[in-house]
Amino acid sequence: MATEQNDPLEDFFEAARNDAPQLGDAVQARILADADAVLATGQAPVKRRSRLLVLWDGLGGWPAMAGLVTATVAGVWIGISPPEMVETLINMQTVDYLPGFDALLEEG
Amino acid sequence: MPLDAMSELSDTALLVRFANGDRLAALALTDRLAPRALGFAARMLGDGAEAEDVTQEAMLRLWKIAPDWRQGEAEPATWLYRVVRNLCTDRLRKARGLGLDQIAEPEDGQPSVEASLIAQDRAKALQMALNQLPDRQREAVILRHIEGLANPEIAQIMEISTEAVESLTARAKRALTAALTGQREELGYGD
Repeated sequence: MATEQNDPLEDFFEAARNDAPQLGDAVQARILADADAVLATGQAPVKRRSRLLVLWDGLGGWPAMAGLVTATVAGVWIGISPPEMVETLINMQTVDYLPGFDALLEEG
Repeated sequence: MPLDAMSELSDTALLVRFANGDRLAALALTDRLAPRALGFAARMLGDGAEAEDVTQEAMLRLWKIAPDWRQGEAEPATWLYRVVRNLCTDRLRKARGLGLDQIAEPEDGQPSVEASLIAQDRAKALQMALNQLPDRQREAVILRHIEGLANPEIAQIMEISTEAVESLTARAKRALTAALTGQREELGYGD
């Protein structure tokens, strides 16, 4: 295995290291101007947020979830143990909002 | 804190200071990291102006990520090399997509590898030989033998195993040797 001492390429690598491009003043100024611009934006940077968090906020966050949970629990409770009034409503005869409609159909 | 005193701080500490609004930290980081980014980009692209653009873009990304920097995850220098690598790869692909593959090939009339050696411009000759390597071999050999990084750090930058880095470097060196050594001996560079 070639060591760096007897590596025939080492002269070339050394030449390349010694010939490294220098950072010019203009580029350095551009880089620092970018840094200034980033600092000037205030940089309490916008952190990337998880999609779940975005969805959570989209649904209204905690206040909306509290309402949703209350409604769900109430629905389950009514399903398990319906109050008397609900049963009464279910058993009520359907109101006929268009009493003459059947008659119209019959007449063609 | 004066600029001189910043030389004792780690890159990560400087980045944290920058995130807290310290402009001098930006200056210290630029002095420390930008030349390395520029050197790598220049070797990858073989074009000084493009390398400067890549360096500026990579440093801009560093400034932007500074407030979110997670200490202990990666060294800023390693992260920056990775960004430079990705930017160079994008540019090389785009150039090839546009049919400008000549970036990697010396044009007719340009000095050959041998002519460069005659002019005793080994660095230039090496660059021309590097330009003819596949991208990944070029990346590995530049980072190892010109930038002087250790294989585990190169593995982090290239997101491959250390063994893969060794393999890429070995293949690159074989190709470079084939391209350069014959002329080197002919021209009396032996020993």
